[in-house]
Order: sequence, then C-alpha cells, then structure tokens
Amino acid sequence: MNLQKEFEDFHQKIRLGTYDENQTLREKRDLLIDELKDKLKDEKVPNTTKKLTFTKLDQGSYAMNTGIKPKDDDYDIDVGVIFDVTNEEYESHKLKKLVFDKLNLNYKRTVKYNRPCITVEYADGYHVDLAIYSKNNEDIHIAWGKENSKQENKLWYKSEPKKLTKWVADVSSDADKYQQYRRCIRFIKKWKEKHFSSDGNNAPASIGLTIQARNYFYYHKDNYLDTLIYIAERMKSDFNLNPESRKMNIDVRLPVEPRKNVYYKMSEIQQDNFYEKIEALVESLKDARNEDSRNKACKILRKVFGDEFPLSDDDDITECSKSMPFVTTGNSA
Amino acid sequence: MNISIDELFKALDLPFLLDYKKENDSEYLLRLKSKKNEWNIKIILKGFPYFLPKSYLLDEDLIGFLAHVNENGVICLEESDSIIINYNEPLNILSLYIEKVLELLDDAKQLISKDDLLNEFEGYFVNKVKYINSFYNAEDKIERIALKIGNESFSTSCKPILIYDDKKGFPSTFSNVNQVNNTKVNILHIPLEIGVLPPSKKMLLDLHSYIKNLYEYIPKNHSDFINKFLNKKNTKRHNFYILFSMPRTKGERTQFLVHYYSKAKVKHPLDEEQTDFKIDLYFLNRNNETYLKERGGSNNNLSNKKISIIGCGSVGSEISMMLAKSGIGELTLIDNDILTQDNIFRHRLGGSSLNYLPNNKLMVINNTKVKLLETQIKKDIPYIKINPKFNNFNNLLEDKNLLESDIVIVAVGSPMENIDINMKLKNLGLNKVIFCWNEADGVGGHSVSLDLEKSCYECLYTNNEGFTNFNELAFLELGQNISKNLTGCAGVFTPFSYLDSSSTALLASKQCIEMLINNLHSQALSWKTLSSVNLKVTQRFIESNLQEVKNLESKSKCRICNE
Repeated sequence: MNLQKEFEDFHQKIRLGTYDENQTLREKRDLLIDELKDKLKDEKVPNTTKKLTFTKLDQGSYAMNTGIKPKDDDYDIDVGVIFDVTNEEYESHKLKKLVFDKLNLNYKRTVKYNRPCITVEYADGYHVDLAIYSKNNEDIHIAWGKENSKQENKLWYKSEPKKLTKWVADVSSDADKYQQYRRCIRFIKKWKEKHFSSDGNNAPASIGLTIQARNYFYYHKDNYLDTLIYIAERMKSDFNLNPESRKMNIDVRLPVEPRKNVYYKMSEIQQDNFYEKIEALVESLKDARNEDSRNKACKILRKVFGDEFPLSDDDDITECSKSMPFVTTGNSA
Repeated sequence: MNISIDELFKALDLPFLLDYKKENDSEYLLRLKSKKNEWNIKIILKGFPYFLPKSYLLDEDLIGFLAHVNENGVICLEESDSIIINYNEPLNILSLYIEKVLELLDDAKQLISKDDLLNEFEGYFVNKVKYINSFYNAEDKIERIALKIGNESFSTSCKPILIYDDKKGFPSTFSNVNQVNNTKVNILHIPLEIGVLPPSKKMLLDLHSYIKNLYEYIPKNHSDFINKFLNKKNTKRHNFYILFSMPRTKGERTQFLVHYYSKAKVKHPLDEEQTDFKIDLYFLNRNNETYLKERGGSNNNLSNKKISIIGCGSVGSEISMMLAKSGIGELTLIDNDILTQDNIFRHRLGGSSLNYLPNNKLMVINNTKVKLLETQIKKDIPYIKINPKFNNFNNLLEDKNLLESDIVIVAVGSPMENIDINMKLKNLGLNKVIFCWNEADGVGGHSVSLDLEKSCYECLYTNNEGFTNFNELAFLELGQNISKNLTGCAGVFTPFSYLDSSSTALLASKQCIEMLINNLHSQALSWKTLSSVNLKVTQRFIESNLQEVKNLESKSKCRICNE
C-alpha cells in the first residue's frame, strides 16, 4: 500500500506557500529590510568615508521552497543581509551588534542575538532570522557567535549560503523528482514537529534533515512512502555507536563552507534520542506499507505525522459510529 | 438485564482470542495474539453491560514500557466518562472491547508510541501518589526556586508543601495561600535533557536507583550552576529536595519533586554519592498561568487585554467575574456604590464579602463594591490585574486605565446615564463599547456591542424624525410603574433577580470576547422570559425568540453619530 492520495491531501494541508501566506511574509520581511536600510543610511565603514551598504539574500526553507505551516502560527522567514565590507574592514561582532542595536529600538518586538543570526520576534506570531554576512569580494563570511561569546568564538566564518540553496535545488533537474523531494522534506518536518519537544536543542535542525534527505533522495514514481522509507533508513545509518558511552552519535556535514556538523548543537543524549526516533520512524513507515487495511495504515501514519494526515475515505466515522456497541461522545458537565 | 457472562464468553468468535479462563464470576484471563505480538490480560466485568470492563496487563515485564498501561498494569482504553454504550448488545460490546484492548496494546508496543508514554509519565503512577501545589512554570532552564516545607525543620522527614518562583514573588492574594507561612527553602529545578521512561515494575521497588539514573540526563552545561548552588548550601542536612522536569512533545514539561531524607545529617545528594537516603516522589498540582488557563478553557491570547466595566451592580459584577474566568488579563472596575445586605441576592458578591465584626483601628472595612470585587476575583483567579475605581465615571475621563481599555462595558442600567456615557466615550475616542441592561420584572435583558465610529447607543433612541423616548430593543412599553420599595422611598429598586442579571451579563461577556477575538460588533443580543408577563409588552417582545440577535445600523438622524 502506498497511500499516495492521502499523502497528496496531507501535503496540501501542511505546505506553506499559498500566495497570500508568501505575500504576507514577503511584506513583513521587506518592511524590516527597508527599516534596516533606513536606520543604517548614515553609517560608515569604520575609519573610512565609505557608506555602509548591504544587499539581501533569500535563504532557508523560504528560498528552498520546503516550508510547512508552523504550529501556533509562529511563521519564520530567513533572510541574509550581505554587507559590502571585507572581514578586515568590520569586526564581525561589531557589525552584528550594530544591526542588533538598530533593530532593538521598537518595543513591539523582541530582538535576540543568536549565534548564527539576529532574530526579530513580533507579538503577532512570526519571526525573521537575519544572518549577517560580509561580502568580501564574493568570498562571503557569516558573523558568527553570541553577543557574550568569548572573543575567539566571535568571528567571520566562511559561508556559502547561495551555494547551499543551489545545492539543495540541484537534487534533480526533473520537475517531478524535485517536487517529490521537496514534499518529502515537508513530511519529515511534520514528523519532527510531532516527535520532538521544542525546548532547547531537542529537535534536529531542519537544515540537517534537508541535507540528509538530499543525500539519500531516491525517486520512487508516485510513491512518497517508499521514498520516505528509503531516506529514513539511510538517515538511521548515519549514526555511529560511541562504544564508551553506549550512545548513538551523528555527524552530518554542511555540503558547503563552513562544512561543519549541522547537528553541532545537540548533546550526545539528544543525538541518541534522535536515533531512537528515526528508528521508530522507519518501523512505523514500514508497518504502514505492510498494512492490508487502508484505515489502519492511515492511523499509523497519523501517529507518525500528526492528525493532519487524513484518515482514509473508507473510514466514515460518523455513520459507522452510530452503529457501534460503544462510542465516545465528548459530553461532560 | 440478566446476562450470563459465561454464555457471552462462549459465544465470542474472535480470531485473535487464543483462549480464556474463568477466574471467578466477573474475572477472566485471556490470551490474545496479533500479527506481531502475544498478550496475557485479565478482564474484570462489573456492572456490565452498563459499564465497560476493566483490564490488566499480566505481562509484568512490559509495565513501564507501554503507553496507556499504568504501574498496576491497568490498561486505559477510553475516557469512560463520556462514553455511550448500546447495552442491548452485550456480545458486540465485549467483542469490540477485547479487539480495542488488543489494538491498544499492539499500538503501544510500536517504537513510535514511546512519546505517548513519556507524555503521560505523571499518569503512570497511581499508587500512593502524593501531590503538592506549584505556582512555578518549569521551562528548560535550570533555576533556583522556592519551596515551602513543614515547619518542623529539625525533623528527619520534613514534608514539602508549595513551590513558587521567588523572582515572581509569593502568590499571596490567591485563595488562602497567604496562610501558608511555613519555612522557605531554596531548591534546584533541574531540567533533564530528554524524556526518560518511568520506572519499570521492578525499579519501582528501588526508586533511589531510578532517581540516580536520571542524573545522567542532566545537561552538561548545567554543572557550573549546580556546583555554585552546592557550594552555597554546603551544610549537612536531613532533608533535600530537587524538582526534576523533562520535555514532553506536547508542551508543558513533565515535573516531579524528589524529597530525599535521611536519619543522619548528610551532604546534598548531587554532592556526594549517598546510599542511605529515603525517597519520596511528589507530583504537582500546577497553578501556573499558562497551564491553568489552558486547562480551564480560557484563552491565553486574552491575557494582555484590558477591559473597563462602568457600573458594578448585579450585571457589572457578574461580567467582571465572567471575564476574569475567561482569561482577560486586566479589569478596570468603575463604581461609586458600597455593598450592603440588600445586595446579596442579586450581586455577584455575597455574604462572605460583608463585615460583621466591630470596627477597630486594625481593621479598616473597605466595603466598596469595586474593592470587594477586586479581593474576591483575585482570590478566585490568579494572575489578573484589577484596577478598582471607587468613583463616578465623570471624574475619570482622564484616567489612564480607562483610556487604555480595549473595550468599555457599560452596565449602569439607567438610560440617561447611558446616553451621557455614550457621548463622552465617543469624545474620548473609546469606540469599542458594550451597553447592557435588564428589563424590569424578569421580562428580559439586552446587550449591544458597538463601534462608536459606526453606530451608537443613542441610535437605539432615534427614529426617522430624530430622538425619541422609545428604545427600539425594548420589551416593555413605557410609563408603567415598575419600581418597588420595601422601606420607603430611599429603598427604591427595580425588581429583577440574580438569574436575570446573570443572563444579561452572559450576553455582554460573550459579546466582549467575540469583539476581542473576531472583531465582531454592531449587534444586539436579547433574551426574554419563558413565563407570562403581567406588564404591557412591546410588539418586539411578542415576536422575538427566546434569544434574539439583531444587527445594528447607524441612524441618519442620530445626534451623536452625526455630530
């Protein structure tokens, strides 16, 4: 059983990218970028008369077109801000702090200084992640480190954001295959949303899942389930046992600079937990495939992906429930 | 209905039922087999078929590893409270029940169900479970928090009482919390990195070992914080407490307090490997804001909303309580009346707000309705801000709390006061307004939600020619002698009962919430009585339903709208 129709319906429910949604997000991002431009208009590159200017770069799931509708309406949009400076002209944390200070003047939002980016959170439920880059004559570097990180951890890191987006898009030149890949990413993100707490670094970074899925994508015509099983099994084999701690470890490298482990934030216990969940994912996907009853297969996939995964059309709850010997009503007083 | 359970079991035709054995009249042992698993369960039928059977998992090794199976092996199948059973079909009920138990167990055995078990960690424990109150909201941050403990601090086992967040202060206005004047100690909240399975049946016998295993899941970067805490508290004691929490995939962390106690004075359990601790586990009655509001069905998004209520009589007082219970974060109560014995059958406040003790300097009686409401609401609902204004509305036109209101509710009742307030609110730019009032003699009540930029209260008194004495929503004709007095002119009141005021308050409160969430306005809601009315009623009363919705429009001749 491959449940292709159910996956298609599911995808319609979870995908981010209707015209309105994109429009709103774009507007909000552009407002912020325009505001930043305005606030920086009198800034100069230190010790020069050169104006401080930047260009913006779409990145993240928005640019890759792999976004899902967020839980609790917490929409996010990633944008790169590439300053026309060299690493020598501006210290990374000083430039990052400048952006932080300029944006942190509005009481209606919260601005956070994170390691890879500046996050601007709005009360009405969305946030913009701004990654700060130096253009460096097209040798782009990212301003890395937290505000209070030690000096040696605050630096310009070589980074290839454009190349990463392109690498993901290059998964296939065939439109159908590319579409299947992007949809599978969305399914995997829904799995992550359901099975990991949003506290701390419990959940694996989405870019990591996107990269692993890209590494192991193998097109199965009209069959998302087989593609997902194929990917998940191989994701599982990316883990290695640490014989000392008896915990599973994972190290997946960014395919572009700075080529570091995309799961660097996760502790060993969290990595081990990640492994257990992948193991469970593989088991359930296979159970669903082996299930004879469409209803039951859908119910298994609901446990994997959440209640937005449709029940099978064969499952007419309302009619069937009336003739059940017992059934829950939801009444209370 | 006389049913032979024996006959039922004989009649069962279930391919997955390998065999069964009768233990006694109401207990049966069953062996079930599915594609992947085999299970041994015990089914107890009491009150069958009006109540579903109860079942236990007999495979003890699996207890602690399966979702929906508690420490006693009870298999938790349905939320039995809300179930409807077609009791005419006992055989079908039993068959379906067994099938569902098998489905549940198979499902729980899947790796993916581990989340369910972790999410219901606290529900796994049923034996000798102890609870204490907590006002602390545990997130994934290691923190020092406050715990009130039994006062006998010399005792070798000093019971925990109440947890709170010292940074937010002691929640003393809520309920009788201010009477908990016990000793306070600082303890650690340690957030574990991931969810950990509950103790298995065997481990339940040695909880200390189980707890020691948890230390492995303390994030490494918390060790500085813990060491600092331990250095400060390096004294040897009989009693130690740690609040552990772990993430759930469904928000709100699992939490439990571990009470370590020992006959000898010893070092902190995280400081030194101790073997002679006794351990008690406590779960928490959560009192933190997010949890309580979610549990009570009130809306967290309303907690940053500010509502002013002008008039805190029988209708206004009820509205204030309804809005507080709906999760509104801040109420400004405006009224210049005091509460007396005469009010207690109509007002939200009752006898417990009246004072019968003699006056003395130590006890200043504050018997204004607004102040008493503040006390009562804060006692009932934590985390709400109340601004009591014992004053006339006309003196508060520059009041900051009034001017910051998202919505103003006018519950003064008097038409002329309403007309006056209507005009002044519009001048102040406070356009989101609700007016509500009762009709006399329990005939009915009305609430109108308005955007004063679109229409207004005076529009109700405006016809094609201009202002008129007749309110278009009215149920009673004008000019009837309705007021009563029991003790002379000073005691004049309009008769209506508590139920009438509550009905009107309910309409106004619902409109208020609708306006906040969906920006719904320009609507009149009315309710009318079921019983026959001795007074002369209007055509609208005769024609309207028990509850009526009417859309409102601005009147071209309205003086206020056209100013």
